[in-house]
Amino acid sequence: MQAKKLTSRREFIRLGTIGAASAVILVACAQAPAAPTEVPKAAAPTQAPAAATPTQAPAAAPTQAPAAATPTQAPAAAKPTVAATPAAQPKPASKEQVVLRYAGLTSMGESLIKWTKDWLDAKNYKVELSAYDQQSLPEKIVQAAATRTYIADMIQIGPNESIGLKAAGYVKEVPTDVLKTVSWDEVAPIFRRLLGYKGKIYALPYDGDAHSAAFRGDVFADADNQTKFKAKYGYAMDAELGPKDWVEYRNYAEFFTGSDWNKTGKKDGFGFAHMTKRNDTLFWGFFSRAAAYAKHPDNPSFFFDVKTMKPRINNPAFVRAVKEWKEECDKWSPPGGGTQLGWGNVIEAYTGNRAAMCIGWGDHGTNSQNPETSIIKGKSRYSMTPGSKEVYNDSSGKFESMQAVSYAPFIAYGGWSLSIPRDSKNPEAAFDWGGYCASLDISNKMVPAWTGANPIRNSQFTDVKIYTGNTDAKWDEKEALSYMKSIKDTISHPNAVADLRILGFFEYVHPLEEAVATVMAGQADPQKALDQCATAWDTITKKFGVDTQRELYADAIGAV
Amino acid sequence: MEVPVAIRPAGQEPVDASLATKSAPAASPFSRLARATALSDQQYKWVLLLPAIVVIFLLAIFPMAFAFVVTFTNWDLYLVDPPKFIGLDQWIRVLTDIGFLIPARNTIVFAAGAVTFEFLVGLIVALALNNCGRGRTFFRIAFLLPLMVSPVAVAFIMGRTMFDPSVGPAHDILVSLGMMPIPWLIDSFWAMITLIIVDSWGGTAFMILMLTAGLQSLPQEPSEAAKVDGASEWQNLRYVTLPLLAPVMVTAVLIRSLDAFKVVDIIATITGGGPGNATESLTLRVYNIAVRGGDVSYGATAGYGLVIIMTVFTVLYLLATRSSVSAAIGRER
Repeated sequence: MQAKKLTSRREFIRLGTIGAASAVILVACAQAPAAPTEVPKAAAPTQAPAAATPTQAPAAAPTQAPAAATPTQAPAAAKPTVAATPAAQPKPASKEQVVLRYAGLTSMGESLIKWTKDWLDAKNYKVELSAYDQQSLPEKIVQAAATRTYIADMIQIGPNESIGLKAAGYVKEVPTDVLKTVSWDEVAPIFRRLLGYKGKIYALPYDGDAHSAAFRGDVFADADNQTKFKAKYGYAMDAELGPKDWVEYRNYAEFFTGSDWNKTGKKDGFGFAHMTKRNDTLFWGFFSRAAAYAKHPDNPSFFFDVKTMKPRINNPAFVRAVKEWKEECDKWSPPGGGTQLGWGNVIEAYTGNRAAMCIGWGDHGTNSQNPETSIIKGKSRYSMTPGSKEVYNDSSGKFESMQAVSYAPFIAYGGWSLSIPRDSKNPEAAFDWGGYCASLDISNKMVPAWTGANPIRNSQFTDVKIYTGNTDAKWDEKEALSYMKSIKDTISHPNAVADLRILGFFEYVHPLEEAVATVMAGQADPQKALDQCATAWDTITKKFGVDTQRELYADAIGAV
Repeated sequence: MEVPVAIRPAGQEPVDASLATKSAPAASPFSRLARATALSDQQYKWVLLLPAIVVIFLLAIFPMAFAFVVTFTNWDLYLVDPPKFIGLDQWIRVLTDIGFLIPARNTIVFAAGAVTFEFLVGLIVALALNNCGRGRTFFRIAFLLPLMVSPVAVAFIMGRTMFDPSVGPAHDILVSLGMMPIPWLIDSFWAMITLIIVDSWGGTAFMILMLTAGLQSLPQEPSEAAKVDGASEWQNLRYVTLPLLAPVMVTAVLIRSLDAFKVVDIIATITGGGPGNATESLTLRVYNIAVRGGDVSYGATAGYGLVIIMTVFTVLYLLATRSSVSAAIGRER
């Protein structure tokens, strides 16, 4: 019998090494980047009993002119006609399947894909979602832009960080024919402004962000609460519009803290929950609190002096705001309320029947409709964030007493939008899908439900059927009317505060959050902390160029 | 190869080489490839090392070198203009930035607290496992399970949820026992304690792994000799076992310390650096500056600063423990 020739050990090792290395390289090249996992939401707390139905009709509000663009803009129509959505897409289905990659938030992205699934199937498009959480999405997009790395065919981005992307030419201008499909004229003027840069449109409308106040109208309307409140503070609680200024807000908060207004059998109710967590949404929470003191109706400046670009962050208005906010959070919000409540925690505390009031984006309203996490559906009312009868005046260097309450609602963040990067592999198909995502039909499905998309179109501030007829949310009509009115009043207020929309936005966030967080934790003196923040902001502004930043800031606040 | 006559089994005749040549099958493709690419042992060594070298170069050396170059530029992701060389400006900025003092303090407190706790608990458990008769394998696997869980998942479930000051189980248990609730994430001190507890979940498991392996590899003779000489269990542990285990303990503490210095994931998940800046670590600060803020060059410089600090710590630590390790090695010999 002939001896069988065996492969030598050396030969085996050599060939095995070559094979293994080749396999690793091939697998690495074939892998798609993994999407980061989403942090799971905490479970909802226990039930609350049904509350009394409010009996008051909503108070009529004066028509407000739209804010932030120019003071001479015409007011919005009371009931604008809804532009018809194009029934058929202009482009036929693709013969070969087109794969589009979309970089967006997990929940919002999944909702978009869900609502456009039939359309995608008909067009033979397939969408791969690169899902990110709220903090890392802007970072990833900016990194991709700076390193010229392909990240997606369509991205979800906000106005604060997108200004740099638009200035650098990273995102494509939206073609005119695509603008037609999204009923552009129906988008509220303030949000149309945020989607553009130097007269051109670079993003599709998707979400309209602004801060408003939410409160338990049923609890405010409760007869027993009404009697006790009036006896203590000398005026009646407003069950439809809530506290009008920060003095009233503090009274309401004090009244509801440590009582059993939530009918749990324990005195575990709190007055309010605000976003105070660092590296979360503290930036917007603080400026919502401070706006009424720091934004004078006669002065367009807020974060900076628009003429000199000197930071205003350490002026007496902001110092007073942070001092009062610390006291309020320590006394009248849930444990950890001064430092540990992120936006998600605020929603949980409010919809979980632990806090009687909250301030934040319209998600407080949409999440109130979610039967899986909310036990207060139909019980909320909404209004602009509280104003103040004392407003800081830069000219005099003092607080000025106003004849009426001065409101300064904060257009916080401005809203997510959809853009097509210049290195998109399928820009035509991406605009095609993006146009459909931003259409009135899809917007009307997304906005009333807990998708993260807030009202952005004129009809979404006036047509209650969008909310009451939504199959997921099925809003109570009175609650929906209150919700729409609050956001409409907010975005159209002439003294509304535009968010910071200049280069290096997140570089400004870090020192601000550090300063405010240390004050809220009792670790720093308010004036000193905000002085340090102002110094840091000054350094950052000089790095990017004072003139460049001034031009962008003036454009953002409409003071060009 | 022909078997030498002296050791060839009886009765076996040497194989006729000519027969082998005449009747050998055709050379296989592998053999042809082997002959064509015949390499010496020295060359084989490099071929086998090549994949590892490539990986280390791409994932470690190149990024470090690139980051070092970036520290001499003004690269900011939000700057429209391309980065420029600015010399040592970023290094001067880092060295004069007092904003790093508190994160540095927090990092040292966290590392010292976490590593000390993990080492002590890990040593006790390792000693127990070493002496454990029945169920040793089961307990070993059970104690090592935390190493297999994602730190961020642990941080969220343990840190954010269990220690939630309002609705967390830790709060509920204390209240139900009639004790005062602890402000876990609200108070600066307790927030740091919470982080140490959460980090200990995985850190202790690592210590157990290392120390158990160390104990298993110790020679038994010194311990038996000590027993014969009348040493008690405690004396045996203190004067025989622990000194012999010194090299492993030194290594385990060093590795965990370096990990603790770099901590960012659990802090970002649980406290975000708060309350205030009470739990902000150096790495979290660098993350905020470089990743979130986009100031890449400053972040890279601060990151290199951290590398220098950790290198200095490692050198000093090894110098300080050199005598213990040498004595242990001497004893083993």
